Formats: sequence, structure tokens, C-alpha cells
Amino acid sequence: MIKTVLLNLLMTNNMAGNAIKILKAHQNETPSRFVEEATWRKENAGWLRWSRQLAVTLIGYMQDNGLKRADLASRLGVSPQYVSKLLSGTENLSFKSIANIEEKLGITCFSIA
Amino acid sequence: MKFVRIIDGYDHLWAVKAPDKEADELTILFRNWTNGEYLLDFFMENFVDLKDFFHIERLDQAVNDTFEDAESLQELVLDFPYTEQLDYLFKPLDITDTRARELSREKARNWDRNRHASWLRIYAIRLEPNVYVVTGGAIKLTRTMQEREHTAIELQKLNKCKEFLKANGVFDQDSFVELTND
Repeated sequence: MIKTVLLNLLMTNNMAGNAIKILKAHQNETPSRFVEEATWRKENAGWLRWSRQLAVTLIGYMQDNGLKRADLASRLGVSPQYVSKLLSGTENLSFKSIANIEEKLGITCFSIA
Repeated sequence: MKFVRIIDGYDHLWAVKAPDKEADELTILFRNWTNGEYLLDFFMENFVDLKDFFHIERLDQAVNDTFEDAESLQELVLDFPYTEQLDYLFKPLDITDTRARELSREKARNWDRNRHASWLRIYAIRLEPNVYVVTGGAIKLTRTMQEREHTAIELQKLNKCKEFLKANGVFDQDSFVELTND
């Protein structure tokens, strides 16, 4: 019994180091970009919050009015590609662009607390 | 199957890098969960589940909640590997995945979410205490993973990774016990 427990312990320890060795043996040449991209999102959280709020407002507007992307593009007078950028919530827009969206759709994108 | 280390210099958290994908599974998850256009498409496709299981009928609310939730989960994922306490972040997927066995299938989510339970899941295989390989993740709106194609695929990815690791010498506890009984 004791022999089995010791053997188990020994093999478990060997397996532990072995697992990471196997991961390293099958390691991809290009490293992960998760930390880099997550850090960027954290560092840019201030303006991303506004960009996401705009995207959320547009999504609500589309649902309320039964619009597809092409319809929204048409109302805004922009390309579908530009609408994709707006909906992504990652676009750094100018005040002028935001005012144009509000004027064309008759909405308010941001409420001042 | 290839793997990437998530944090340079730390061996605790890894992710699968599929040959046909541009980035590893964890990076792709957070790119999607922070992209409003991707989320809009997802919730439009799964609108019935959103209504039936979460009683949410507003797409803007679903997208906004996901943005918030993804931000919280990102914080957890960034912090835990440095503390080497990943066993607090992940929990076994179901009753068959007890940690008495190696290579258990695990899930991570934001357990402290307000208003409604978090629907974001990160799926991983636990190789040993505090060592995990992320195989993917999902926006899980239904009770079980088998109920919808996009979550069933994640289950297959978990199983495929587990089989790969076993085939390459990372033994699970079952084969280990059999070995000692011989």
C-alpha cells in the first residue's frame, strides 16, 4: 500500500513536469497577442467606453426601427464598411462625426451625467 | 495542434493555436467579445435563447452587458496567471470532471456579475494544479453545451485537446491507475 502511494506520488510529480514539457514541445512559433491586446484595451478604456456607447446606441436604434446595416448606412449617407466600424465600438470618432450621426438619425448618443 | 503561452515567462496559462486561425483561442475570444458588430450578429442569431433563458429582449442591452462582462473577465485572466492561483479562476465543467483526475475539462466565468448571470465562458483543460490550456469559449445562453451548435463545437474542441494531450504523453488519472494495477 505504502509502496503504491509512493509510486503514485513519484509518477504524479513526473507527470507534472512532463505536461509543461509537452506543451513546450508543441509550442507555436508566433506568441499569443492576448496580453498586448488586453493591455491596449485597458490603456484606451477611457475613449473606448464612448465608442462602445455609440455602438450600443446605434444597435438600439436599429432594433427600434427594424433596420439592417445597409439601411443604417443609407440613413447616415455612409458606406456599409463605415457602419461596421461604428458598430464595432472600437472606432475613435471626432466630435464632428458624432454630431453628424446625431443630426441624421435624430438621436442623442451620449447623456451627460 | 499547437500551443501558445499567454504570459511570457509564466507556464501556468496556455491556449490552443489552431492552424487555420489567425490567432490563439483566448485572443480570438476577447477580440469577438469586445466587438459590437460581432456581438450584434451573435445575439440576432440567438435572439430566442436570449429571450427564453435570460428574459432580455433588447439587443443593445445584451451587447452592453457583454462589453462590461468581457472587461471584468479580461481583468481576471490578466491577473490570475501572475498569482499562480488559476485553480480559483477555473472550475470543473461537470461532475465527470473532478480534479482528482488529470486533464479535467474546466470553465472560467465572471462569478460576481450583477443583474444576471454571466454568459461568457472560457473553456480549458487542466493539466495539473494551476496549469491550464484554453481551448476556446462561448456566449452560453442555454443550460447545457449540447443544446446549441456553437457550444457543442466548444465541447468537441475540449475533448479533441484532451485526446491530443493524452496521445502525446500527458496521462490522465485513469490510465495512471491502470498502469499501477498491472
